[in-house]
Amino acid sequence: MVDFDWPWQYKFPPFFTIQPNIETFKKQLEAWCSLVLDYQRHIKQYTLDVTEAQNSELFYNKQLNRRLSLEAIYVVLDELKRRGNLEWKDKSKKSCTLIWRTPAEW
Amino acid sequence: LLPRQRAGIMGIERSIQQRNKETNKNISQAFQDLRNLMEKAKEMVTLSKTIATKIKDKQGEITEDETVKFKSYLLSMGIPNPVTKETHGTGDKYYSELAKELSSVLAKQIQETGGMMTLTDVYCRVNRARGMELLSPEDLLHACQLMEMLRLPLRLRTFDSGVSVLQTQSQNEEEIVTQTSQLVQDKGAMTAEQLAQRLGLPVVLARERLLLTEKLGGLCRDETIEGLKFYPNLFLTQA
Repeated sequence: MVDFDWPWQYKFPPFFTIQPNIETFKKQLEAWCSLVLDYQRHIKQYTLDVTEAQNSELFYNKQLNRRLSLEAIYVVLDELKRRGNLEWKDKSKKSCTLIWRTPAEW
Repeated sequence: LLPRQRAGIMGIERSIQQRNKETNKNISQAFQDLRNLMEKAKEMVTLSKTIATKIKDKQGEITEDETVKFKSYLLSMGIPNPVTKETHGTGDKYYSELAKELSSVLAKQIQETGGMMTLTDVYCRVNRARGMELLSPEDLLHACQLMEMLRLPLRLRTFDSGVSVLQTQSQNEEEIVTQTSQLVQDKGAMTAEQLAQRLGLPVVLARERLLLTEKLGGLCRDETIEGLKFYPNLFLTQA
């Protein structure tokens, strides 16, 4: 398998802290959303288990020793849901299905 | 001192008793005096209250000489009565004079410390310099609040975090922001402590500088168990 091409943000420590500045936060969220989608497409997985993902390299940069908090992960996933790229599998929001293309695009 | 012939246990006991009696007398006398004084003060308070209601009738006529005088009476009694005071004149003579004094004393010192000083530092410096007739924290705050209105070279400023500082009128916010982001850029990333060391500022102020720059989009943060670190805001500058 070809190595995943990480975006520059992934090597930037502040990427793993929710930014209080609104403008900055918007950019950050944008980057996270596309990273999650790109990564899932790369590993060819449709489902994402939140607990599992928390420790996967997607949300945990071992080299940098930074991880995205659970809270922040939900912020990202909820944003994806809002965009129509994600469906929760259960009410407790433990795992979800990712849709690379929105139903409208299909 | 007791004479020699009163030696022995009885003598010692008696002398202790004597001393106790004396202190008791002194204490009760002091309290008696205090009570009298308070009685007088109470009269003054009621009097000032009736005057306050009288002034209410003539509402709106600000900075009348009478009101100013009245306020200095209140101040000398230590009765802050802001609710009724505020509508009858803007601030007091005492405070405005104090504000002028402060700004002439501090202007140079603040300039030397980078154009900004926390209010606690100001309090410390002023009172240390005075020695007598010290300022209360409230006096200082009131005086500083008037500075802007009096067009003095200093002004009071409160950050979002609640930290109050005195700042020179000439200090430019944008300048601080560009300077701070430049410094952070040179270093790659910085904590408040590092910036404080670099600029010779108190950590509180260095922190405020970083937060201000972050608020305006110049920096972004990296929060870990090791502490809060600030980075150049690549989110906005890099595509």
